[in-house]
Amino acid sequence: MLSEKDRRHGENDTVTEHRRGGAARTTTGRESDERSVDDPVLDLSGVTKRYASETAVEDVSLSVREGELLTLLGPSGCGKTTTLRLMAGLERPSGGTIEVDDRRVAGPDAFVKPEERGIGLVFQEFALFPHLTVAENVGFGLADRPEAERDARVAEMLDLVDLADYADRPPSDLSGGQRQRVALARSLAPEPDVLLLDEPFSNLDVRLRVEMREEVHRILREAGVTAVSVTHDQEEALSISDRVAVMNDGRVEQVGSPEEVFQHPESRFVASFLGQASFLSGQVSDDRVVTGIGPVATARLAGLDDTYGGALVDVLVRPDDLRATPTSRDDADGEIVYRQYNGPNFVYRVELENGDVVHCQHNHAEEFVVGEPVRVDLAADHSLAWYPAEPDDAATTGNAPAVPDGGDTPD
Amino acid sequence: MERDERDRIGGDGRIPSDGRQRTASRRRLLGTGAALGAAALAGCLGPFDGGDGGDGGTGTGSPELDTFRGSGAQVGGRPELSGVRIDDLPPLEGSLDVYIGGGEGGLYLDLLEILQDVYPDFGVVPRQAPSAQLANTIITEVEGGGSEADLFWSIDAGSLGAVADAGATVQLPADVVENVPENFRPDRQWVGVAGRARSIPYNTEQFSADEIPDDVMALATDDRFSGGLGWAPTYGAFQAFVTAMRVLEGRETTKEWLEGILDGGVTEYANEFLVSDAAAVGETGAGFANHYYALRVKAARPSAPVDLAFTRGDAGALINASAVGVVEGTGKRELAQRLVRHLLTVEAQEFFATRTFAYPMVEDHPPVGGLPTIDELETPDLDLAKLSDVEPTLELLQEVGVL
Amino acid sequence: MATEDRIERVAEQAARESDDDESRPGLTLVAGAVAAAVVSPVAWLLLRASEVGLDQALDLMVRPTAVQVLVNSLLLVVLVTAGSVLLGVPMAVLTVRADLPFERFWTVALALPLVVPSYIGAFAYVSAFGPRGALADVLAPLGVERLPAIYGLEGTVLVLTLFVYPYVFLTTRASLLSFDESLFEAARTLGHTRREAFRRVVLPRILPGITAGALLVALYALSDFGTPAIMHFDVFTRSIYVEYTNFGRDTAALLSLQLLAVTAVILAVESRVGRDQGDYASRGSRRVRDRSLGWWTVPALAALALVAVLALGVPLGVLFMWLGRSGPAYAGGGFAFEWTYGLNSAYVSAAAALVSTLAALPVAYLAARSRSRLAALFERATYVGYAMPGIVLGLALVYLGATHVRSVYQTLPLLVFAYVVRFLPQAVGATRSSVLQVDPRLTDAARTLGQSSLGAFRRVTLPLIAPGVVAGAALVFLTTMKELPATLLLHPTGFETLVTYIWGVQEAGYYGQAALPALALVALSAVSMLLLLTQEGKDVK
Repeated sequence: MLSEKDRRHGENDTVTEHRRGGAARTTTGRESDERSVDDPVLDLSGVTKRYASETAVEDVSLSVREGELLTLLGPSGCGKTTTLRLMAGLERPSGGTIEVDDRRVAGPDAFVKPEERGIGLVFQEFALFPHLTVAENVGFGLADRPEAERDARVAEMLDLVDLADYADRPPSDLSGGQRQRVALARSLAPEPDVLLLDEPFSNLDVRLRVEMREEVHRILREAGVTAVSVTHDQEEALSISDRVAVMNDGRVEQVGSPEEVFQHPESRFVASFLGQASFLSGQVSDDRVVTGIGPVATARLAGLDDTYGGALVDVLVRPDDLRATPTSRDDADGEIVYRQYNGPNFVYRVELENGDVVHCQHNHAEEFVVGEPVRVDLAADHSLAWYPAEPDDAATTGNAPAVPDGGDTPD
Repeated sequence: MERDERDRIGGDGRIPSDGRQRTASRRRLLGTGAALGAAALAGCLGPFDGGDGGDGGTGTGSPELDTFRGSGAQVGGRPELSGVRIDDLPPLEGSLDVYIGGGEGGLYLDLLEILQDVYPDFGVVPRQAPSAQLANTIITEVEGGGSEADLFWSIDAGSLGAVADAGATVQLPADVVENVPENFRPDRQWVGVAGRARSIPYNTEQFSADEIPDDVMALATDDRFSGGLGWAPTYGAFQAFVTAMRVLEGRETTKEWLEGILDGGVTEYANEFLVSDAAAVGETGAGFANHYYALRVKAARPSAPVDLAFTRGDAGALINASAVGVVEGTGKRELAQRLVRHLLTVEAQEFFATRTFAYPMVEDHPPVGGLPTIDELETPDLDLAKLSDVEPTLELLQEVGVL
Repeated sequence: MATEDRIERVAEQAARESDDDESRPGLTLVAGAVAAAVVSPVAWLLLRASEVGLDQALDLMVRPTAVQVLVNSLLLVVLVTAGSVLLGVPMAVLTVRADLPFERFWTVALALPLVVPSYIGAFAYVSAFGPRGALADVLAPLGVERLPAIYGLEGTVLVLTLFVYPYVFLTTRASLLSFDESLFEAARTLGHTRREAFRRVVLPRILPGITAGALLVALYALSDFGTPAIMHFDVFTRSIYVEYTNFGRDTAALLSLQLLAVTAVILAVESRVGRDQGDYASRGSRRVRDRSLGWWTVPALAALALVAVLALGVPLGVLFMWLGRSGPAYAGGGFAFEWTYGLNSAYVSAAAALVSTLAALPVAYLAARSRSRLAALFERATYVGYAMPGIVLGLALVYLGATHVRSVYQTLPLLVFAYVVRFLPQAVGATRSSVLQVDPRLTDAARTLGQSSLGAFRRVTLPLIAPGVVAGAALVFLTTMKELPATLLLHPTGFETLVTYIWGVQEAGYYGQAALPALALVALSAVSMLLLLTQEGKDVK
């Protein structure tokens, strides 16, 4: 089974490792989402889940491709876990359809029970059966197989997760990381078509989390399984996923490769949720947008054309897109109001004269002091995302009314 | 904390704070004497609500016999009674702790209450539990250094016999018990105050009086009673009856008798009131029960077709007794003995006869309801103390499959 | 990574094992004192039984009736326990895990039979279904001549089961309420149907709860006197009672020791089957209530209604019937009912609940936190008094009181002590399972914040286990309310309670007089049952 399904993670892998590598935008991304995928293993179409008083999931459509790891990313309460439970069959959708391998498992006139869906689920708290040993846990889903086959499969799985020595231990003897690996092995043992992971790392401490990411990644790759994971941790989502679906308020806001959603968020929400986002407010004037750090050529803004003449816009800038340079107060765009030391680098918060607040990332050797007047320059070599100004949108940062001050900062 | 308890219970301080409180309210017997109880009593004190200006606790006058007498269909036309009256006795003054057996014992509390009304300075602190348990308690207490009780009033002779056997009673003066038949005052360690006779309640629509054999042993072999008998083998009085049979007739004869009844077919009831009631409603033709249960049925439904038959000189004619004994170690022996005297007065005996339908224990005092007098009954010659030897009886009952 | 894991594991184990009794001799001492106090009445039994000669003792134990009594007792225990599990567990599952209409109503109605004293229940059954009962009266015109016998083994098992199954119902509910639902879902996603998942995952997890309830039922069945006596079934308690009635105190003591031996066996069996693993790490107990019953709703409701009618409707119906009957012709003032009896019952029961709760705390806490044999022994020891028939305990305390502590004999403190001896395990059980749910690291956290160990307990553990403690207290309260034999022997003279009054009038044959106090007793106990039910699930985070 391993070898059979082990045909993913070709180039994708390397791409995944190079997240936010600053590579130029690959135009394939978004279009490929809209293109119908050849043969999705798991397909959600217009799925909605309403409870008595609230709508947890609204009109979600997603396709999960053979062999990929798709991550549902969003803040708590956004409906991502409910979506996962709908996929698993633990909840019944109020509307829409779910198909697994072209078989309808949920819809207006169909509902396949969780035990018949061929979908595995790794629970947030791992949900290991405390009354069974590690081996019994792993073999739990193999109840209908001959004993010899079952034992062999359990041994194989324990090898995969590197816990062969713990077969006869109770789960309470294991550490958090070990428990997670048992949970993985248990879910993988029956060879599910799709493996679902609910906040798989949230129960681990930070160091272990990073290690387990790699480990889970390895195990999933070796098992060659199609997987959907859920997390609220953007770093986790970006680092392990082939694709990320960002959810907010019960809806999917954007689906795409980690690079796409990071570099070209389709909404302010996505922009803010993924990484540190600042916005430069500005007004389109001819071929430039006048902002608090000076004019920015419209050509650098993805998809901004002539029809937007005179419009107020907010331009997305990440900390690594901007650089601050100390200068005289007359010459400055603003001043440093906060300094965040991250070890390898500093992130400086700069309040611009027009009231916008932006962040600039600098090498750890470049030390400025709070209160220092600085000039801010755009250092990005990729196109920038922008959004029509929404003065009332409290969810965005740096959204002061765009009043171009005509400063002549060089680009 | 003790003070606290007392306040919370809201009583008149009758909750013993050290377990040995001897002062007692004149009136309440069972209760803790809350306002409710006091109020309830105010309405039912009757003619002896004395004490106001009374001369030194002897009451304000002679108590009326009617105060002690019951009422109803069974009590009509009582004859003139003679004997020792309350007026003839020195007054009761002070307080007594009385352990009083359950069941009929509840009724006896009424009598004690009347006596407390007669004597404003007399109080009784009663403690109720099954007679046998109280006997065990007294024996255990005496082993442990002394009983809390001054007087033990059990509803069966056996319990008092056990206490007496354990040396936990003190002998009564001869003049106190002289009017009671001798087998109800063995060695004067205790004295019977009210009797109950074994009897055969029968349905008068199914049998006439002369159709009931006067030999209890004959019932086991008489086909007319096949399938038509009722009994309550778990009931203490029935077990005492079988014990008496065992002592009088021997084990084997008793076993045959039990088997005979069983073979003929018999209906089992939880108690002997139900046995008597079953005969009254015709569910059975006859049964084995203490005499007063049928009288109770008649009291509730005077037209019920039930009457009583008594066998002669055998276990079926056994009379057991409620009995009193003064407990070893009491500091109030004199007062306790005086109370015993009161229980054998005309008034008290009339109370037992007309309210509980018991047999008076004082010779010449007639029972109610057209019952034969105690000397008309041919009671078997039996030491009542032997009735406490129930264990072989139980084994026998189990052996033949009755229990 | 292996190193990381190992470090984490070692840390977790250390956290778990840091709590050992060597580290708190004070607590162990207190718990030991409580255990010693509650088994002290056994000393009297040994003393009495030693008066029986060896030959006689052997003779007594092997005679046919003794063997029959043993067999009967065991039969009764096994059947009542099995019956209670068969009733209590499905009903707990229905009320916790199914979308049952009026779930709250059913929960209360099905828990309430516990407040009905079994002797009243048995009496109600005899008068309703006995050969001359109300039902026979109703059916007689219809040509039904003979009802199936209510007496004997069948009747005793039926009646006893109906009034004690709520123990299993309540403890199973508690287990289900703290059950981690994701385990069930995990089993579903691993190819198990609901039924299989229930059998392989839910059932093993709630087994400790079921056995905890079953233990209370088994020991209750063993120690109950009223029901087998009324239903004519010969068991240990009845033999013991008969012995006392005939002043065979020594043989009674010997029989009592035999009964305690059976108790020990039951306790040992329960230890093997049902000890929970103390798995406080199990968190995330989201409660799901979408188990649609569908077509099963109607049969399920019908079954619950039947149980409610049999266990609650019948006794209450009979009591109301009695209430309606006119009083006897010559009921005297000696039987006048006073409401203070109710007050006395409530007062002494509350005192018993309070003291039991306090005494249970050290024992339960130690049992939950320590793995030592001593802690387990102390906890098990509290069950001895529970299995002791009330009359045995009562007489033992009469002796101990009259002989050694005369100052408390026939006072409330000794009566309350008797109740504590009888019902302590109910408080211990409820408290212990609550303690198990509290992460011991919270105590550690409090210690690092400057609390003494007692302070940490008071400010952190106690608030967290409060629901369990309150539930245990409520259970003690309502069982004390209905306790009869020890009350009769030990109550302060003049201190009448509802049960002593009910006993008095029933003994004299005035059942009508018993109705009002019996209803008052049921009503008062019902209040504490409601309190108990409000505590459910509160300590589940």
